[in-house]
Amino acid sequence: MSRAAEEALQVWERDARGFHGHRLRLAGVALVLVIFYVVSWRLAGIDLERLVTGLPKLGHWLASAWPPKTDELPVFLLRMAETVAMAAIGTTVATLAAIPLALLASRNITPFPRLYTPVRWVLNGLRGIDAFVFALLFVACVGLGPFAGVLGIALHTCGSAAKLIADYVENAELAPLHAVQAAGAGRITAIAYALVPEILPAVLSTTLYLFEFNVRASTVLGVVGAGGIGQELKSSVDLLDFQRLFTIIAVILVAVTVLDQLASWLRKRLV
Amino acid sequence: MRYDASTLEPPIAPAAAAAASAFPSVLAVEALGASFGGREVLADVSFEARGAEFVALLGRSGAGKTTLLRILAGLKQPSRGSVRLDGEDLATLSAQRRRHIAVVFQQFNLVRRLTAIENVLAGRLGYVAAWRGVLRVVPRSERLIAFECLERVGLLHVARQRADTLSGGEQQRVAIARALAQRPEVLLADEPVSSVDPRTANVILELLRDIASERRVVVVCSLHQVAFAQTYADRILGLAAGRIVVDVKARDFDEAATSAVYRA
Repeated sequence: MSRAAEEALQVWERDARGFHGHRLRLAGVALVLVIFYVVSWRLAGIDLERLVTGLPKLGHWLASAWPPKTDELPVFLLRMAETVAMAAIGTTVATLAAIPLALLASRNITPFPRLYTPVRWVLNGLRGIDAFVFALLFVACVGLGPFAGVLGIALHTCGSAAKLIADYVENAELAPLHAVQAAGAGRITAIAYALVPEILPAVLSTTLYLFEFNVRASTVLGVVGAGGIGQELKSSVDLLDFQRLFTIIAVILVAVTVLDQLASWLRKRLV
Repeated sequence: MRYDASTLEPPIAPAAAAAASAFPSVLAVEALGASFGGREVLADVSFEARGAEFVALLGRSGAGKTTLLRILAGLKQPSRGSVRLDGEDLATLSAQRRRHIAVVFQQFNLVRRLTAIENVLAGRLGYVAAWRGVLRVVPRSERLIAFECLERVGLLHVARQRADTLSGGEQQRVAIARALAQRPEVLLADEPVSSVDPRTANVILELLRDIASERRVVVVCSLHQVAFAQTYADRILGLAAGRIVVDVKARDFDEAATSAVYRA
């Protein structure tokens, strides 16, 4: 039995037992977490009693939702198509706008290092404000309808897409880029030739993911008057017409599921 | 296949050294063959290795070195032939016995976010109850073994540093300590010095050689430099196109052997 190993183990054991150093910090973190959750529980107004008394009401509504009303189905399908269209245009515009922003927000290749921090701040701002909030503002300035929704989605998604793409670029292998530059290519040429092929699958996959996300997000934009199936959803709840509501939710579920499957199939083929 | 007594160093008594050639064969490979999708990667590979023997595997890229090591490690099934550890077929070997075959990888394969000592302790996982492994609560005796193995590779001073803060050479030595903690009879190393500088490579190969003789371990180590094999190995196996074309004592590996292994 070796002395040095025995001593090292004893030092390890002493530190593992005592309440000092990082163990004290760990206890501190645990305490803060407990306080955080207690305060959050209070602030969130968690009231299990109300849930228990409210659930039967929900059950009653569910029971009255059958059979679903299908006479307005063509309208719902049109509204759902509108929703998907909003997501598609919004996501595409956002991604196209995100590419130059992403290059500016990538520390390793930005041509203007001074702009790095401001651009990152702008992206954080865009990402921090939800499409729903943007839509609310745009309804006030361009009027009711899906166009306001598209603008809302585009702005919010642009921030997310640019940040995700910039993160890919920052983690990308730059050696091939430098090799192409060393071979005499200019900066833009080198990026197009060596960096774009590297990150393109990731960018496309991100775009598809954001599209899926936006289809789901767009379903509620109608609530603030920004077009899509959300308007029908809100009017059904306002009228307590649960048969109609049931049909709308079913349409949303089917559409979202089909699109998710389609997108994940496409994504597998890309990567 | 005589054992070269010159590599035996102290702790081992002269009498034991004299008896070296009488070490029983630990690893017996017989008529081994392997195919990948119809392409033959190994054919009719046979050899035996005794305890304390350092066997170097040489061969061009694609000659079958890695496949052979993967089969010996039990990570891949051979298409034909057998591997025996102390006479027991690898295919039917219990998990209990399998832990006596340790592997050191080219890219170290340490858990980057764990400390050096915790990585070494992973070598003891085959010996402790599963729940202990999950909760990382192991008996003191196990932890002591881990510390001793880390001491053996000269890295006691970095025991509590995270693996990803260590240099490549240090990471490879931690990986060797992890292998040692398994109390192996056979230690397999797949190009263990391809990712480190030449000086560090010497340290690591010296360590593997000393471990072989001190602990009576069979070391099978694939290498890309002939000089390393000649300096550190007892015996050199040369693979070409999946077959053993050279099987000689390291000091007998000459020009002819080199061209047999590396010819176009």
